[in-house]
Amino acid sequence: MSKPLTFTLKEKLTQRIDLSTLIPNELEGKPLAKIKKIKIAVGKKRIDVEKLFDLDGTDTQNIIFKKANDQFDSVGRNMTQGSIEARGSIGDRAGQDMNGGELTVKGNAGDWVGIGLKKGRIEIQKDAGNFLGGALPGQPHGLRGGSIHVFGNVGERAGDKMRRGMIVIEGDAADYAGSRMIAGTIMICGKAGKNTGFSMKRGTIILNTKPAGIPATFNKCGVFELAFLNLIFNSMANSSRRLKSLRENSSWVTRYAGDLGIDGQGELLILQ
Amino acid sequence: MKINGVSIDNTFAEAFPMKATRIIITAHNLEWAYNSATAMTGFATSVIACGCESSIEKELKPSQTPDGRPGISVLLFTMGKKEMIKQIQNRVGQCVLTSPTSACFSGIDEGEKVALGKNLRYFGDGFQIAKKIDGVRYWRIPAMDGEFLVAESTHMAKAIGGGNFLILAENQASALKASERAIKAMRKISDVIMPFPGGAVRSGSKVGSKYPTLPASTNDAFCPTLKGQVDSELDSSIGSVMEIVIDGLSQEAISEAIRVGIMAACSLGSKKGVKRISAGNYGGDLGPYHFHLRKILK
Repeated sequence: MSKPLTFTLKEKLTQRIDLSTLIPNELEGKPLAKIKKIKIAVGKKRIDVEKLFDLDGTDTQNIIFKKANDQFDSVGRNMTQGSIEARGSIGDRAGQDMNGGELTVKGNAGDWVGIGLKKGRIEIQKDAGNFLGGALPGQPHGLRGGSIHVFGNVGERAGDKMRRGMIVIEGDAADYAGSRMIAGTIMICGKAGKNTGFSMKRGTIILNTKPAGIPATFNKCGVFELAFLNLIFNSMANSSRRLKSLRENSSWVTRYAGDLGIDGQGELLILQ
Repeated sequence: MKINGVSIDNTFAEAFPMKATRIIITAHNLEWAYNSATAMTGFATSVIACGCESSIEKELKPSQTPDGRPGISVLLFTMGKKEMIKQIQNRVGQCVLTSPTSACFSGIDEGEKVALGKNLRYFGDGFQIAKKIDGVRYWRIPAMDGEFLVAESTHMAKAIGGGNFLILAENQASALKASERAIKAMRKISDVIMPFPGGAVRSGSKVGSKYPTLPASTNDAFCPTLKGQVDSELDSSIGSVMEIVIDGLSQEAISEAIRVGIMAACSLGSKKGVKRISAGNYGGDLGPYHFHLRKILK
């Protein structure tokens, strides 16, 4: 079995770099000599990969970035197969428009993680920034499918304009989680901020505790036992220890329907 | 060949290709799962006039069901896809969706996808919610008791219908007791159902009739009261015959059900009235599946 193709950063970066060309589907079948000559955008310059990274291994379907840091942008962008592991933190737009494969980040991730994700899985083992699984300005949808799992906290607007797929946040979510949501499911295991579900059209936000603020245009529907939550908890149980313990929860929730301000049929489900 | 004094005819059962699906029904408790499953599998003894053949396959523990609640698995057999779609929609729509606390899932992965909750979702009148979990789409349909959770699709697998064996006994009571023992043992086998009432059928049929409009009629060669009138298969020791019909997902499952059923029936023995075991066939040229009794019991 061949070793993963590993890119180890040589020196501290002076500018952000765009790593969108270093993905399994682009590198498949390319010899190492050719990979070393791929141009990476560093500011307004284009620099050969081998000038920025030491390369090791040959398995282009399993890529590792060592000494990753928050200047690494677009890691896994447009990925359709294979796996990428970033050892360290990364910058913005990780997994943008991903359509398959797995992206794992051992540290933090910046803003816009998983925007346009259609298929595949993204795992952020610490915190992520704003607009996780969201949409860029002018884009009609955020996350389309697949899943994003964040072990830590996330910034504002997680799941903005999300249209299916699943986001799991084991820590806290800042304000406006699930804003303008169209479909899909967000699970927030920690605390959620103000205006959770703002302008939600459809979709489900499952919350471990009541958010800091629910928009006034959400109405309480009552307390219910919902069988589908058992399926979701069973599905998540293998992802982490904290999620495994959710299975011990009952599936009783308080349901809020909204956002009625836009005739929305979304729901906030607060676990009892 | 004899088992416990009961002679086993050197014959075979002839069976036919069918389509089948497995549906899992869960509920708040087993009693309510049974209420739903019993309703769904009612009037489903024979495709001749019921549209399908369906029965409860087995009970499921909470650990065996998708939502972790007590459940029942149901097998449903039809002759073709069109009838399968219709039967699923009508039976699930009228007997599972309506049943308090029920949820409904697919219990089979092989074969062509067919609608389960796909069309039932419209009962939600726009308030229904779709959820895709681990690649499977479910519908949550709001209902007065809370919510009806149903998988969007199930699968329709190739299956076999019409496996059978006949219990020939001294009298009706012996035939009945032997049938009951056989059914009790056969209900432990997975992938099979015995769709007739209580699992047994008293009115085994033959092809054709003196009445032109009837495709089938009483199997007079096995009717004990006609022994003196027809070319009978029964001798003076036989006073009653009962048939057990088996539909299954595979030849192996049906063979095993036949084996355990015959062994259970024979456990009563000739001294307690069970005289002979036989099987029904049409000469072997109609149905591609043959279950030779002596081969199965060897």
